[in-house]
Formats: sequence, structure tokens, C-alpha cells
Amino acid sequence: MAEILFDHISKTFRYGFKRQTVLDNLTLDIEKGEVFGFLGPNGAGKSTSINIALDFIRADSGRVLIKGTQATDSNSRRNIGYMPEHPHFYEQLTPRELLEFGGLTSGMTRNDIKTQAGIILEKLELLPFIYRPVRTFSKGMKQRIGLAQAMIHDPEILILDEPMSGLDPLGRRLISRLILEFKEAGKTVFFSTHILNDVEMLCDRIGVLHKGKLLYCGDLQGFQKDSNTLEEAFVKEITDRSTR
Amino acid sequence: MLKNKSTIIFFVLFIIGISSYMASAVKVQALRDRLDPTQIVSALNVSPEVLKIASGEFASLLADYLLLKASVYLGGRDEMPEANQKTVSTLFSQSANLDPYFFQTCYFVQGYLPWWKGDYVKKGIEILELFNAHRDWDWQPGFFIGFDYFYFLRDNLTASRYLMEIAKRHEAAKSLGLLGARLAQRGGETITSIAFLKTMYERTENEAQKEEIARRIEALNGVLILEKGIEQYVWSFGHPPETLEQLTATGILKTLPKNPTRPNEAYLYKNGKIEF
Amino acid sequence: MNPIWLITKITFKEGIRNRILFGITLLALLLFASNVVLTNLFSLEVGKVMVDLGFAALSLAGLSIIFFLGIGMLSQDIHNKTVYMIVGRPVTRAQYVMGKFGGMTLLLFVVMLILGFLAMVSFGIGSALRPGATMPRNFSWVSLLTTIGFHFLSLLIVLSVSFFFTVISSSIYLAMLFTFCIYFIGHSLETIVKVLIKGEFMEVSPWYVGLMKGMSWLFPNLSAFDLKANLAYGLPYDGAYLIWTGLYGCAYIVIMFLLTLVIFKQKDLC
Repeated sequence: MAEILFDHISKTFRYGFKRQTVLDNLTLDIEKGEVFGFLGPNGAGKSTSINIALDFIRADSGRVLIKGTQATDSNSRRNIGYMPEHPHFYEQLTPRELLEFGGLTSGMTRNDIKTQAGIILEKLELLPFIYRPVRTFSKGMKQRIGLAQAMIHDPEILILDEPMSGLDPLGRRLISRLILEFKEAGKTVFFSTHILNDVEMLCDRIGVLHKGKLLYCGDLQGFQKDSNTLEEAFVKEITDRSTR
Repeated sequence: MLKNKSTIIFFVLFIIGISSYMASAVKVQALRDRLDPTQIVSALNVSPEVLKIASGEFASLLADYLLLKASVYLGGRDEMPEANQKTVSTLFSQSANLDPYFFQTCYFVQGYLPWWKGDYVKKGIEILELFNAHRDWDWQPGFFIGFDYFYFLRDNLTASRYLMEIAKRHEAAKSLGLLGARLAQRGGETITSIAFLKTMYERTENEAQKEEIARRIEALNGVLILEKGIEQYVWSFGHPPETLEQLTATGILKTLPKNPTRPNEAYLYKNGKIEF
Repeated sequence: MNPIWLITKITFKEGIRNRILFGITLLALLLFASNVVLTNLFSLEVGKVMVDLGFAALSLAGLSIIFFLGIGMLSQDIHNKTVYMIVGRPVTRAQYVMGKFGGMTLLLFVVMLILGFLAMVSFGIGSALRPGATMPRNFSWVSLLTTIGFHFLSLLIVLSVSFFFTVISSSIYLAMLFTFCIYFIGHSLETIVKVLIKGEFMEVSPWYVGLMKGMSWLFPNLSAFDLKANLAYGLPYDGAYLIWTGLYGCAYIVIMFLLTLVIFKQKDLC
């Protein structure tokens, strides 16, 4: 069974009287233990897909299954750790309180949270700041808190929306390292990005999305076949489609 | 399964909510209708100056609102209880001070305050003075004041002063100036008073007050008849009659007019003068 | 642990540490201080003036909490997508709204408690500084608590209305405006209807009276919860009235809350 299954998903947004199709019959599955990169230019529908998988947005048709459970059932999110593109928190709370909230809602005990939080915050180099309210944090630090609360309950699936955007090279390396560690533990990572460098380094498989349609799904070599670099292949694929 | 369950819970709660809302809304409405207005509307015992400062640019809006609050008490023919009179007069005074141009307030003040017993005539005149000073193009506030001096305080001299003043303000009020001038003279007082009251009668909408003024006009008409009779008596006998009954006894009048303002419907007569 | 309670807790923590709350408390304190000063300006019925001022401070604080903290936090959650951090967990949207409402209720409750206590202290100081000043007639702690309790209930109604408008409108300012309108109408509609029905001075068409009566079904009658006059003048509290009014308030809140839930469940959080 697929860890995450997008089953014929379509979604149209309405802006006043205008309608815009964001996802057009998207079918995609992510297997257990793989790192899946979701590629596409801005506005391709990557975030919308992820939001549907987490039930922030309801699809017009089709369904998303997470380990066989419908995404509209809140229990499906028991196994998911999620980090949004721009994580926002309750600004007056401390990282400690945020992690406690995350852990408790995911059904952990206080003791488990304490040990787990210690490990994760250490890894993310946040330990010195755990008693400071989040409002005093820089963007990079907030991103790391976002990752920490996504991982606090040791989920089987990690869904990351643009995890590298706006980070400095050090931060990006930190997150890459964590994703690889996660993969080694036999878990699944699904992330969207438009930074192709990360994709080459991390992904087992990729999906390329453009204007709500899936152009390609498979391994990197297959996508890159007659181009020298991934970037070349990506640009070619997108412009081909746009002019066609 | 789960979805169905939560939908059912939702509908059950919704129906319970709606039905208890309906029931309690009706009940609360009924209970509140029984309440005395004082428990709904009360006047904050603050001087108008404080209100003016607090309301800033919304002063005239607040004035409208206070007048609206006062209107809750108004209406109906029953005598208003003393406590309510106090509240209403406070609200009127606050409203008038906040917006001394609003004629609605001025009209309500004249329609209520002077007709109550006690110091409310003076209080009413005090508020009307405010309107008289601000609405300097309008003859009505001054006319009301003049009427109050004449009718309630029996001060014809002051009344005539007001009437003559407002006559200067407006073309339509010229005739009132004439009234005022005649009011100041002793002679011809009755005809003037009748004309004055008739003008007021036309300007009043409250039925009870209209009736009262009409009774007074009727009484004055009676006075007019009596005065004519006395005049004729003096012309015939060289001195005024001792009692009014002498007018019918000598055949000058067929019957004595009735005085609707007295319970025994009679006029008081002393030393050739009618009092009522 | 129940997610509703967890959300209540973080909402409360987030609110209580917010700087706006300090501002509101400061404002209320100033009003209480002026209580001491202003009571000297009135010669009669000082007790009534103290009740008026004390409750004005409570109202002001409660309303500012609802408007700036309640509407502010909820719409920030939705528009900044802070809500993702909560509903991205195994939490249903119903649980989220309930928790959020619970947190704001708790916050209001605690603030009312503190300010109510401060109000009593300022009453105490005010009457001590002015010999001859007396507490309102028939004053008792039970009547004070009842009045504060019903005041609190009316604030909860405004809160539930504010949640509804925050969820349906796309802008925080619109939500504030709508909520304020409901608050204002809720306090004055009864007076307007009363004047209209008496109809002594106005020629009112029955159609218009009908419209107004219809509106009073739609809008909460907030003036029914105002027991200040009873407290200030020592009028008796009618048990049946309190029970029915309490039920009325709770029913209104439940209905508003369910409507909010239905809309929020359908809403795309993006």
C-alpha cells in the first residue's frame, strides 16, 4: 500500500467570478521509505496538493489516502509530521511549550516529549533558546522550530512544504542532513521545492507539476535522460509544455 | 460512520439551541415588557458638560440617543410617576445641552415638562431658553416660553415681552407681537388670551393637552360673555353687580356660562372682576 | 489528553502574555483611579456612580479583549496560517474552534475576576476617602456577582458573534466592524422597538414595526443582561428573569457557535 496516495484530485479556486483550476486530475503515490521531491514552478499547485493531503483544503473531486486512511479523517495525521512553507507560531509561547503541545496532541506522554524534545532541539541547535518566546526568533530559527515540531512525535511520514526556501547554506545543509537521517530510519519524506540542487542530492523519485497537471513521475535519470543537468531538463520540459 | 455521528450530534444540538432560543426569547421579552422603564432606561447623573467632553464629535448623535431614551417613557395619558419625571427631565436637559438646535427636543420639552407639577415649569423654561438663544431664526421656542409664563406662571408681563421679541424674528410671528402688546395692557386681556391659546392649540399634538387648552378657551369665552354682561350692567346701573346671579336676575344674560375648568362649573367673581 | 483543552491552554497563554492585555489592564486601572476622583464630583447617590464607572471599566476591558485579542488572534491564525500548526496535527476543526473559544472564555474570565476585584478595591478607597458616601442600597456580594456574571455572559455572546464574523469574512477589519455593529444594535434595538410600538410621536407603518421586530429575533438583546440598575438602586433580582435570560444567552451562544463550526468546516484554509 502506498504511504500517500493522491487519487484523481481536482481543485478549482474561485476569485470573485473567475475560476482557476489549480489541480487537474492529479494521481500520485509515494511509497514507504522513499524521499519524494515535488517539483514545479511557482503556482503549479504543489502547496495546494500538500494542503489537500493535510485536509486544510478540500478537493472538489478525488481523495487522498494516508496509509489507507482518508485525509479528511483527523486520525490520518497521527503518522504525519508537517512543516509549512512559512511556519507561524503562537508568538508568545516558547519552543518548549510548542513542542509540548505538538507532542500531547499527537498522543505522546509528557516524559516521552521531554526526552524526544531534548534530542531534536540538540540536533537543530536550538537548546540555548528553549525558554525564549518565539517572537524573538529569526526566520531561520523559526524554520528549525517548525521542523522540530514536525518531528517531535517521531512520525512515519514527513511532509515539508518548501523546506529550503529562504535559508542560508548552513541551514539548508542542516535540513538536508535531517532528511537523509530520516530516510535511513526507513521513513518516508515528501517535500516540495523549486530548488533543483536539493533534489539531485536527496530524492529517490520526483514528480513534476505544471499548471495543475503532473508532467512526470519517476526517478531522476528518467527525467534527465537527454539533458546534461536537471535544470536543463526541467526548463525544457516546462517550456515545451507551455508553448505546445 | 464518524461523519454521520458528528452530523447527528450537530443537528441535535442545533435543534436544542434553536428551540431553547425561541422559548427563552419570548419569555425574556414578556418579562422585560413587565419591567418598569426605570429598569431599562436610566439617566446617568452627569452634568451635560461632562457628556459634551466625553462624546466629542458625537455630541449631537448622543443628543439624539438621549432623546430616544427619554421617549421610552413618553406617551400614554396616565400621569407619569415622580421618579420617571426626574429621569426624563434629566435626559431632556442633557440632550438639549448637547444639541441646542434640535427642534424635536424643544417640542418634547414644551409638551411635557411645564405640564407636570412642581418646579418643572421653571426647569422647562430654562431648557427652552437654550433653544431660544440658539435657534435665533425661529419664533417657536420663544412662543413656548411666553405661553408658559402666561399659562402656568400667570405672568402676563413677561409673556408679552417674549411675544414681542419673537415678533421681530419672523414675518409669520408678526401677529404674535400684537398679541404680546395687548397682553401687557389690562384691557382686552381676555380676547388676547383666547387668540394666544388658539395659536397654542394649533401647535399642540398631545390630545390630553389639547383638551386642556380647549377647556381653557371655552372658559375664557365664558369670561368674555360675563365681562360684556357686567359692562352692560355698569352702563345701566352705574355700578358693577354684587354677584353674577344679578346679571340673570336683571335679564341682561339669559343663563350664566359654565366654567369647565372648575368642578362646580362656576366662575369666581370679586369686585367687578372675573377670576378663574 | 483532550486536544480541546490543549488548544484552550495555548490560546490562554498566548493571550495572557500579549502586550495588548497590559494596555487594557492599564486603561482599566486608570478608570478605577478616576473612580476615586470622579466620585467626588457627585453629591447624590455616589454608590450608583461607582457602579457605573466600575462596570464601564469592565465593559471597556472585556470588549477590547474581544476585539483586539479575540478577533485579532483568530484571524491571525487563519490568515497567517498559524492554524496549520494546530490542525496539521490529529485535531479536528471542531476541536480547534472549541479550544479557541474556550481559551478566550478563560482569558475573559480571569481578566473579569482580576478587574472585578480591583473595582471593589477602588469602591472601597473611594468611599473611605469620602465620609458620608455609602454603598448602594441593599448591596450584597451575591447581587454584585450576579451582575458581573450576566455582564460576562453578554461578553461571551459578543465573543461568539466575533468568532462567527471572523470565520466568514476575509478581513479582520470587517469582522471588527460587523461585531461592533451587532454589539451596538444589541444594546439599543430594544429601546427603538419600544418607542416604535408605542408610536405616540411617530407615524410608523406596521411594515416597519414588523421589520424591527424581526430584527430583534436576529440580534441578541444585550440590554437584557444589563443588571447594573438593579445593583445601583438596590432593586430586587427576579429569579425567573435570571434563569430565562441565562438560558437565552446560552442558547444564542450555542447557535452562533454551531453556525461558526459549519462554516469553518467547509472553509479552505489558504
